[in-house]
Amino acid sequence: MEIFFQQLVNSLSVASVTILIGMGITLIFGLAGIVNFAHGEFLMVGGMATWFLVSAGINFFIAVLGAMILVGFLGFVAERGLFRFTLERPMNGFIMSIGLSVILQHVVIRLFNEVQKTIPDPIGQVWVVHGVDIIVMRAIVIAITAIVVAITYFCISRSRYGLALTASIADPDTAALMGIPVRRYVTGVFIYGSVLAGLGGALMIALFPITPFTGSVVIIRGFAVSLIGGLGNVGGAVVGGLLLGLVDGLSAGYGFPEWTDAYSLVLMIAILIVRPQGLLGGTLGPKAS
Amino acid sequence: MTRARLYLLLSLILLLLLSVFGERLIANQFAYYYDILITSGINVILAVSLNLVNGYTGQFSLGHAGFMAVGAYASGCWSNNLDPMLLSLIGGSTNPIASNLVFVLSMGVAGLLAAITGLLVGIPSLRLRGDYLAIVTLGFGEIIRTAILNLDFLGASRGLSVSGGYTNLFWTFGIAALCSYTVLGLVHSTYGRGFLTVRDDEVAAEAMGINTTKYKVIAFVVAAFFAGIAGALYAHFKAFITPEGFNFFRSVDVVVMVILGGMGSTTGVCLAAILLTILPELLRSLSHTSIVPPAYHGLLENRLILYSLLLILFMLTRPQGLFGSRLAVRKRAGTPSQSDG
Repeated sequence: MEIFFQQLVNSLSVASVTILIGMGITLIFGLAGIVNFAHGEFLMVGGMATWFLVSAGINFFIAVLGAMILVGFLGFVAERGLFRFTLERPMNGFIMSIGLSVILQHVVIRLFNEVQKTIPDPIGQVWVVHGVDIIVMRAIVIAITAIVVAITYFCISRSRYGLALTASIADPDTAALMGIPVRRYVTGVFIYGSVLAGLGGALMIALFPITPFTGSVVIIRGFAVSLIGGLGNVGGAVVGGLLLGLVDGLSAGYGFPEWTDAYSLVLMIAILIVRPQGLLGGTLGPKAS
Repeated sequence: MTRARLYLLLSLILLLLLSVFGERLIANQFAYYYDILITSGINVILAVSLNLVNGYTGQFSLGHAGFMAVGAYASGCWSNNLDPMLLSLIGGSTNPIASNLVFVLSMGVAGLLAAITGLLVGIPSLRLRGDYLAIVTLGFGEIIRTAILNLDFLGASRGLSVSGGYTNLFWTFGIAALCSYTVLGLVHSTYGRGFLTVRDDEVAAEAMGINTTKYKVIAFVVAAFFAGIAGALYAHFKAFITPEGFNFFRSVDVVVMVILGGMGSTTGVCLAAILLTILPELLRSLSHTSIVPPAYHGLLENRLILYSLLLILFMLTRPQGLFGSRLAVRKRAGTPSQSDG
């Protein structure tokens, strides 16, 4: 039983990072209508920036802020420079983002190298609760994710900005007529999603090593999470992330961990076939069928 | 006999002559160019077959490498296990006719298995469209790769060595010609106009009584069939295959060829496939001259960076590709089209 709880705690911290990625994708894909395949690379850049700052002797939590700002700026440049021109044809944006992801990968390899990067555990303490070891850093990751999810959820469903955002994806023309700066909202959502990717990367490198190729592994899981939960649905991303995190953690503990990647994809495809709108549905973005 | 069929027959005869009399010479004297030649032939098959799905039918598949992997591994396993028996049945491995017959059988198995996989992937395409379909096909490709990585009898991550090495100029370019002929014949027939209607306006097509689902599935199955055969040619050419040879970026390669050539233009896609096979080699030889500073050698030799830049450039300036028609580039549903036509 203690092993089970140990696996549960571990998979919860893995799930937190997955939720952050999935939430970024679900917002950008579902609310801005942009399929950004380079989102995983944004996360990797965030992790690498954190590594760079921490090895330069800066406190981890300040480095996290730095990574978020950097990746947010990257998102701003990508949206204004590239995706803005393909808003009418999302497929083209998707194809373009594949190119962007390869280029980002190689820029990072050129700047640093392809060896995996780790940072020392920023806290380095362990709590023991009833025989279950809880690494403090993992608990902090889970707490930060919970706070970010709560803020995002309330901003989108309760604030006037969230309402305007919802309106501008439901009917861009009418929303624009009502005085909502639709394009600015698209940029805003894209930057916010990118900042989440930066945060995800920064928290990820506190838990596992990151290589320049981490992004392409992470992105598929991110899409799986956002499609499982339902696009544009923050709650859906949380459910999807928890589901995948549990499947991963438990499969690692109880059998066939080498098939982990296949599990999440099979889950995604099965759910899309049965429920194209995702588990929680409520998608405002492009329709699946 | 129609003109197209005449051309097909003529090219096959020419290839046969070339293969019988020139194969050894080219393979031994110009091994480097022979390698490029066969690779570009395989790429033509992949790109032309993917064009049926992505260009003519207006779907978006990102899992072509998965079908290729199915074909390559099916053909490899078949040849490794059954070829010695078959060869001894029909007269020894030294007999060129016997070995070619065996290869045809092996390619057939590869194509069929890949086509069955294509049918399985085609089923979700009935419900999903656009970006969703792209992500699902990508997922299928990754599942196939993960499966191969974990199946021990396929060599897992160690790779599989394939005996035989039957791939030659005749089969590579013969299949490429056959593939182009099939795709063009399908699309330009009365029956095959259905592919184009699915792309241009699915709702209107359905209202006119066209079974759009059927056309989508046929497109997937035909494309997967040829991708499987391309995989078989690849396996017998390289003689050693690993799952990493069929990863996501292999699919992206093929997609780049289709986009650069122009979705829905077989000529353009053929040219793009050949061009994109030769270009990295040209750049590589360029990078060994003194024009380029040494720091940038790696950059020029990297095919993926070149492809990525081309992708972004083309998406921003000419989304229909070099030879494509504007119709093949889809807009978001609900947005009225202005310049399409």
